[in-house]
Amino acid sequence: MTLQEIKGIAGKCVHYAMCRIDFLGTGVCASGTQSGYVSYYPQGRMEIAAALADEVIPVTEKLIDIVESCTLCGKCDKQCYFVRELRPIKVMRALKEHIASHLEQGLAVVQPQTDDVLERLQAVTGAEWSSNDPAILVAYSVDRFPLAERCMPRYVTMPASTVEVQEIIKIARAADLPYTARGNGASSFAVALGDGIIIDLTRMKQLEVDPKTWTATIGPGVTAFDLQREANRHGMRAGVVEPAACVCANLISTNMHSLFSHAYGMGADHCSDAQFVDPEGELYTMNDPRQSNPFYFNKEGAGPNGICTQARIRLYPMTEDESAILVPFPTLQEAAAMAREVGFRRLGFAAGILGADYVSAFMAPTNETAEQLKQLFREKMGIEYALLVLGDKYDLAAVKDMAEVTIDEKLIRTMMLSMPQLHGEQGLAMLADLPSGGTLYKTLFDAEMMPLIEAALSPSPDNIMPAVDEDMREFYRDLYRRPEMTDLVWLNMYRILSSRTGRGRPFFGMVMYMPFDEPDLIVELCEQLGAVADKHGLRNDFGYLIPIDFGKRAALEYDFYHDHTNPEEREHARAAADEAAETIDRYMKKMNGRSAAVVPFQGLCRKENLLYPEPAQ
Amino acid sequence: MRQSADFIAQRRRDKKNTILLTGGTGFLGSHLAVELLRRGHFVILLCRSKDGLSAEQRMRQLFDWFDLRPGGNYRVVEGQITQPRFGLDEQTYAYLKDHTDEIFHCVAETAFSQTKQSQLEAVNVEGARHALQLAVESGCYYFHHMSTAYVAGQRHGRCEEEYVPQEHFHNAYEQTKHVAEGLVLETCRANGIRANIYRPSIVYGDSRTGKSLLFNAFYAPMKLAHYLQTIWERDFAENEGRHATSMGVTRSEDGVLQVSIRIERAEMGVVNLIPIDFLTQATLAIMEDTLDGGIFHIVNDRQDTLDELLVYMRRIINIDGIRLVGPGHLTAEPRNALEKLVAGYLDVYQPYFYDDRTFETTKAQRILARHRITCPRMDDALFSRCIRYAIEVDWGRQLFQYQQGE
Repeated sequence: MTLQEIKGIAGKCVHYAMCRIDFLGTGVCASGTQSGYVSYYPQGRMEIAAALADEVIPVTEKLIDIVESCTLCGKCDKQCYFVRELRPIKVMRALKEHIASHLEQGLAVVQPQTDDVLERLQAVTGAEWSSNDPAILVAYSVDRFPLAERCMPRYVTMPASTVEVQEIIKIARAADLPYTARGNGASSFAVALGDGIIIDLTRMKQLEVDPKTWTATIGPGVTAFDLQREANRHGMRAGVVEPAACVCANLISTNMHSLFSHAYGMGADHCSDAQFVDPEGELYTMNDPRQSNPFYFNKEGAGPNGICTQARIRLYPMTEDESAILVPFPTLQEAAAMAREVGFRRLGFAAGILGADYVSAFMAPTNETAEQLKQLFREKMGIEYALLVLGDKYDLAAVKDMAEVTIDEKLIRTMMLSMPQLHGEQGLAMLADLPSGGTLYKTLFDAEMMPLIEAALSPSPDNIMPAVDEDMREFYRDLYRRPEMTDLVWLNMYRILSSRTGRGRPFFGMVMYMPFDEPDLIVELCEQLGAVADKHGLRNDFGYLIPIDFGKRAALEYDFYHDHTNPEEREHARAAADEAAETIDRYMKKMNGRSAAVVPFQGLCRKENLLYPEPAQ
Repeated sequence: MRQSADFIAQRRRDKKNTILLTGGTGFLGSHLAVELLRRGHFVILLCRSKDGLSAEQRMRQLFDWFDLRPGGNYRVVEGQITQPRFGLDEQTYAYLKDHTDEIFHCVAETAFSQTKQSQLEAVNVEGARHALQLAVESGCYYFHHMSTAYVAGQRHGRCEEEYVPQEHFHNAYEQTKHVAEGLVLETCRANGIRANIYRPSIVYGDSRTGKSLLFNAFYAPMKLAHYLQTIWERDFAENEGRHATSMGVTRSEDGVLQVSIRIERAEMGVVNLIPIDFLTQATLAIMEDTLDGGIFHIVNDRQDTLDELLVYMRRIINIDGIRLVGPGHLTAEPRNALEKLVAGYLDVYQPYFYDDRTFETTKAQRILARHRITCPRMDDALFSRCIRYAIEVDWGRQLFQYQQGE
């Protein structure tokens, strides 16, 4: 295949960076691990392929090295298929063919010229860790946020220590160049782009767990996945979010709210201290007495006051009897009432309401089966929302007691191992599809019905095979034989399924902190945001609602989906994002200071700044 | 009145009347449409696209199912009954206004659940309003409305062939169909349009072939029983019945599944069932003979007992141990899991298990007798024919695939 032919695949990469963590146990791209730069990972090669096809970059020696370093081992194919149903191996092959043809034809191979800044950067990091080669730069030049345009940096540098970060900042200042720090992937809001120096912090992988203080000291290159795995080895858990995201970057930019925020909090709750290099290149920590108020929240969203180069993250205990339970609901109001109770009563260590869209995306192996499952839940069963609670046996017993009907982990596992026939003629669809148009899920999910459901579905990893591409079938069967793939506690801790959201088309989520005692207002805002997206022809859906601070507030996410490869849709997404921001602003005023939208780079502020803002004057 | 009775009779005799039929892809609508076409009427079929098929493609698929090779005496118009003017462009709607002589309003939402209230309102009430709007705006002189005998709601005993205001219903379907009847009568009276209201009881497949397009109501208990049979038999074959036995399901030596399922119904509970071929013939006979409008019950003069139906079912479904019990029986001994499932599945049909409504048929009978049209009686053979067809087409899922493979 030619580059033009595979451009469609390459352009669909959403930079979730899942190819940079070993979330499926396949191992990670060897050349990426060895070379570090994004360009040596499948994510980067996808970008290179698209850029070559569009003639954005020339063929350089570095580019040839990047392409040749791919062994076509196929790990990325499995990882990317799991997340996005993309087949990057086709892109890798096409790249190799393109370069072979380029060389055969004797076409030019460009050698970028060095300059003073590059030489100074290389003097700090070592020659191999700073570059101005277009093949390196291009992998850092784009984001999927609809408001972001391609922004080609001049240099990419990969420091190995805080001292090197300090030196780099001083070089940038001397050369009057802007700099942007980043971790593994791009960001949902384009904050990892910059036209000066990109400081890629992923070499700084310090990771030390201190079991005595229940903390982990981490460098900025440590991903949530890595941290969680290490914490688990010590019988503890971290309250992290997107698995491939570097925790420090995530921490300072987004507040890191997740279902775990119900118990573990958010923002400054996550860490006991953090170290920064300030814009002068000097070091400071959050606990530095010279800092006036490190927990300050700037609602205008000023940039971070420095680069986080180390953080001491809080860890939490785990017990042997942890499990999960889903409580299905037909309306958001009913689900919110129960979630609020769960918050009040401090039940479980993670809780939140998920929309049918999320639940289906998480549970189903492919986009098609996710759509079918969503249809089963919504149209046949009348289930629009599910409250997910993770907890020990005492927590879950209490939730069962409170709920009219629950779906326990055994039933969830049964359903996950029963796709695609779950919604087929011998599956639950038959029972859910009442001839009268009513719903039967309350009866169906009664524990007494479990033998019937198991008999109907015959859950097995083998069942999943027909749902996936033929060459993936054995891999999926083996993958789903692993208990963690149907263990909701594990899956939520590592969050590997959340990357499946937006599998059909990527999304951008709008997050707001809402008063939990007015569920009608939450529903109203969701409807308003839905109307904005509908007006622009964008698919949209409720994301989640998480009780925070004992159920006083709730973190709400509402998602807009768009095909970033379609310029027209991207334009609609831009307009919709603007209108949605206005809508959210209107509601914040309406709630008189009882809500606040998420503002980038204010992640480390105390949650009280967001949940207890000053009333509007 | 817009047209004299003689004019209408002459037009019908000469097949000069253009009939707009709504719900042409539905169960009742398609059967009526096909019969009207076979009799030479020109029919405009208003229907919607669905599942990636255009309205035209859906109708062609149905014509194949009916084994009908239609001539040029029809036109398909793709529209939405739930939208004013069916959501059509000016030109298409103008065509309907210019050509419609009679309207056969067959489209209906037949879900019973309260959760479908808005959909029921949209289709059954607003849909009727939109069809009536066309009747008023066009030269339509006769409005035929397919209703249901169960607009009688929570009445007991004899129900007349006339419009009786009602307030209490068993479900939103009955209620919305009743509201629609009121709309039809009021609008037609105010605009000089004659109106027929046809009130069938529970409709099932073709008595001669067993074929059907819809598998709810009469079919629902059989569908559930067949599903359970399939699941449990597979469980015995593959898992030695591990799941089945834990729910109290066993298998006798002769391979019959033994369950314990009680279904509560009135002592000697009955249902009124009519096959679609009877409904079609009866409706068109009434249409052809009626020139001044009226309300007609198209029902079976012999109601079938639930006990009889259970006997028929047992001969097809390999399950023993389903029992019909009288009122109060289940309170004495709590329901087991399967009984809860069956009760939940059939929940909205419960009122019909206690049905004591009977339907006056004087007006309809007068016409049907003249045409020698009688309702076939349900028996073992007819029951088997219908259920076997349902199983063959997997309760509707393989409807058209089966047709192609036949």
